[in-house]
Amino acid sequence: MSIIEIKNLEAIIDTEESKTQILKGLNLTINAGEVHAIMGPNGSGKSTLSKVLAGHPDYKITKGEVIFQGKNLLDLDPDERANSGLFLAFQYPVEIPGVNNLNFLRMAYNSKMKFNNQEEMDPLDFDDFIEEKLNILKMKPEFLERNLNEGFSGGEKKKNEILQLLTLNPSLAILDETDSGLDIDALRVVSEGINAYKSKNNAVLLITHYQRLLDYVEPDYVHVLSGGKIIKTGDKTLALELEKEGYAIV
Amino acid sequence: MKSNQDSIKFEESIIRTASKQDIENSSIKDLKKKALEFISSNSFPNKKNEDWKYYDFKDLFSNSSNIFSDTETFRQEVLDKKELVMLVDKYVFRESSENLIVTVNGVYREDLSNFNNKDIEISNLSNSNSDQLINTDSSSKDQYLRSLNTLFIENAFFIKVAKNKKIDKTLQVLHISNQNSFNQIRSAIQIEEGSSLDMVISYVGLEDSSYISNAVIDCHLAKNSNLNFTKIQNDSSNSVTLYSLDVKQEKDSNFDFNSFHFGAKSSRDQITVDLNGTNSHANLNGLYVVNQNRKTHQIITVNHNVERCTSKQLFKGIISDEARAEFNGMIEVKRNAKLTDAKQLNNNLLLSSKAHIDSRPQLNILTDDVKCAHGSTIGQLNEEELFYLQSRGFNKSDAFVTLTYSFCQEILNKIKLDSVKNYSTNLAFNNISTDSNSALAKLANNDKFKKSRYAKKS
Repeated sequence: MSIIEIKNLEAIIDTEESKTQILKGLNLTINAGEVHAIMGPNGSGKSTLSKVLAGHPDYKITKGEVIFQGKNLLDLDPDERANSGLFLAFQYPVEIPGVNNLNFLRMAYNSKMKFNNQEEMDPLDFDDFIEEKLNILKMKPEFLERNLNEGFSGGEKKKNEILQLLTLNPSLAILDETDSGLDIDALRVVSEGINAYKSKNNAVLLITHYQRLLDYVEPDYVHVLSGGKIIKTGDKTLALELEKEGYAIV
Repeated sequence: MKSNQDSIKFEESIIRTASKQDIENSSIKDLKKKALEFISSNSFPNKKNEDWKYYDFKDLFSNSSNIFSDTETFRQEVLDKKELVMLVDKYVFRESSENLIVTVNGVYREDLSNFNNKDIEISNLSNSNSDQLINTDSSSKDQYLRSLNTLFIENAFFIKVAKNKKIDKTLQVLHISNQNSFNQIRSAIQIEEGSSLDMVISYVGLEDSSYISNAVIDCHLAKNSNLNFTKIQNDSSNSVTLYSLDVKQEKDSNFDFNSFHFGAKSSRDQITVDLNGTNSHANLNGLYVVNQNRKTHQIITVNHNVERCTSKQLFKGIISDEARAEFNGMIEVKRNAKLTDAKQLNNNLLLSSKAHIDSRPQLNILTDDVKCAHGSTIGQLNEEELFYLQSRGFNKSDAFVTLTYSFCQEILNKIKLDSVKNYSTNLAFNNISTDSNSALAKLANNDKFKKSRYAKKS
């Protein structure tokens, strides 16, 4: 069963400063139970793809379509996409002072429940629920009492993204360079989090520059994105080749 | 010029009203005479005065023409007691129901107040001598407004906390105003040596009523005393309020001031703190949330007159629709105020293209060896932050409320009492967004959930 089908997608960045076409006919289908990795040189459109899928207002779709679990994804607002089961772990998570992390997580979780006409979880039950997720990531409960990403180290921010992933349990997780800036121990913990999330009913799209993440989270497919489209697809050995030889080989 | 005529008409009304006062028989004849003299020989402040440069006099003059008829001095409407009791019930904070002082149109009302604390003396000119007041009456930046207020000083009340007394219950002062009143609110607060007091002063008006308030408050903090002073201005949306607060601090004293502005058509605060004793500290925080056509002006001066004092000013503003705000902050470090540590910061969030802020953080340093910092920011909600929250399932309105809450919670969290904090938070968001309640309820009750977390674990 396909989770997402991206067909001939073209997108431009549409801001006051810039109007440039970045995605130029991108095709990708991801099925349930699969892990896909996208690699590619700087400026090839990797982050744009993740933002376009999540609905960032700076990007405009000029052609193509995206079917997400039977729905036309591009018709949905960012919050509707999230509540329908699409999750983007940000490359640079933003800091929101004064908003307690635990309240934020519960609000996000309950937004999804409400959207799907399910019962919202009360604070006490949510406490038990979140504690389980914290243990997977070896995070201390104090983490929840801090303000959302405020003063977090780079590694803590990324772990907090994975905590959100585990909390929201989406159908598709897009991880935009979640591995960059992590030390070896943090990378292992984050990978364990991703593996704990993974199931036969959901899918993962990893965007990365480095092969080492793929040692921990094994991809079924590796794609090379260049010039706004996928120019090569292979299995995990492609990542090893790229690591060794660079993008000249594709 | 029309505004000039309006100004003259306003001054004439004031003098006519003042002249009806029976000054000769007053126990504070000299003080009143001096005040009347000042008013007669000076004019109401105008735009030439740097501190009034951004003030729009239109609202003041339009309210005054309603209040003063040509023949009578006031057209003020009378409220019956029953109605007043209901208002007091509505606005009293749970924790302060037995430490409550009420004024109506600036007049101290013993019958509506509920106060029984032997360590605090509450008095007015009818039951005490006037020395205390006369001693606290100083010259201030707004001498015209002060003099005008002094002409009605019979209405005033004084609060005095006895020596070495820490008052644990928060004292609430509730000022109620109604249609066509011209309120001369006056109080003096004396915190004696080694004492401390928490107080909340709230200003409310009858719905939609049009009035003018001219409040003058003097605070004196003796050696090693503490005053935590929260002001919540929730005046009627048709009112014009003028407010002068003068604070004098002696050695080792500590003044915490939290000022909130949610109501009034036009509000202007002139706050002056004099650090007169070494090692005294002033902490001034403010939040103004203005929408529609409201205007608010915050003119803050901290005078470091002696060495080794610290002061902090943090004022935040959320301005939407066509509202306007002014922050005019000054730190004056005088010649012998070495080792001063003074900070001043003003942050503004503009929520519409027609919202306006004039922010002037200023320093005037006349000595060396001091640490001073000042700054100001003006910005909109951050698009990336909005997108981040939306990508976590927050709808646009919840994301908006979350970010504005994030912006102003730092000031709201300075309020000690939960009931006062909730009241202020709700007022703030009433001025920002009408459908904020559900998200706000989840954001603003951190403490409750924290408590429940720990309670469950133990």
